[in-house]
Amino acid sequence: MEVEVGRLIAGALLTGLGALGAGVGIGSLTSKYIEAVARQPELQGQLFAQVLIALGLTDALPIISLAVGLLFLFT
Amino acid sequence: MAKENAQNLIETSDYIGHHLVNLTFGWCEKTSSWGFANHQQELFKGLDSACKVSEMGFWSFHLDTIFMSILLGAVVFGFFGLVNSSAKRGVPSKLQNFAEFVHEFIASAVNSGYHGTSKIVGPLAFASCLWIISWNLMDLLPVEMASFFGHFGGGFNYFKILPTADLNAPLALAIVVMVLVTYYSVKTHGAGGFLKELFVVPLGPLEFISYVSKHVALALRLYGNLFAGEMIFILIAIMFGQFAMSFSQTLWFLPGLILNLSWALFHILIVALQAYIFMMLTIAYLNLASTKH
Repeated sequence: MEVEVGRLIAGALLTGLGALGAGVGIGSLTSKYIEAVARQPELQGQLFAQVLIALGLTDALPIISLAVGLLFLFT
Repeated sequence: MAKENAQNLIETSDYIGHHLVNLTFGWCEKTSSWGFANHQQELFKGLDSACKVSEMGFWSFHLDTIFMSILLGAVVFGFFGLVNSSAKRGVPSKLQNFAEFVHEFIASAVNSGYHGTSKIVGPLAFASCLWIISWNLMDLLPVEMASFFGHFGGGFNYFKILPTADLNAPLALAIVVMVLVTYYSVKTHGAGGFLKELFVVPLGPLEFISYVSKHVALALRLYGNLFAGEMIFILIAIMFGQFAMSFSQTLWFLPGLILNLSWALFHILIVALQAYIFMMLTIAYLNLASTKH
């Protein structure tokens, strides 16, 4: 029974704490992006491509922890 | 009520478990024979082996991932091959415009990202980006479609149509990228230079760890995003699917429809973004490997 409870708690922690990292990372990323666009609006196109890539990179680890958490929870 | 809820809970984990199992064909120790894991299909009667998926050791293949990735590759690259062969000098057809637009987009990304001399990076970026996009688009198909056609088609009980939700496929792509990166860094820095750079650099094995982890992260990022996306589709299907089955509560599928539609729309961004990121990182890694620093 303990293993079952442990597995569920581990899954929940993995899913939850991963989102913490993603939230902080993407928050600061977009704030810097808006600042940069406010300072130089003509760079919007190029900067947006960079932000997309950086978004994907900051999402990498939280999403991996989410996937492992879901694996813990459901299989 | 509690018993009924408990009954539902058991069904949900079975439902999820059912949707997470690949169609595995492998070597079974017990009967020392090749075959599909038990009860996975009724089409090939003789090939049903007594082993469960977990009992099949190393030699077990996920046929649904292999089949789907080959099929999607054939469709996508067949389309581009057809458009290429029927290309005309004069007024380009709509298909040709679309193909040229896609090619232009990827070529600009490669030219801006890669400054080396190798001629393989362009086609590699083109192939990996489009192949992964076609893989990921499978996630937008309804959850029950695979098993519906499976039962209907001839008795495949377990069939995962999304190759990216099976870790083997993204890992295979990442391994190919790793081999290419190693080849090019050895070619530009020489075997000694490459090994020196990996181990002797002042921080010692740190460079080696970052070298391995960036390729593993490449595969796990793609796998994680799509597996989480697929899992959320399954969970939405569970939340509203089982109520819709009973005639007394048929209107329950409406919230399910809204939720599923909104997640699918958002998921289209994830599908395209992950393929784009995989391509951009492959280009960046190859560029890093082939410039002398």
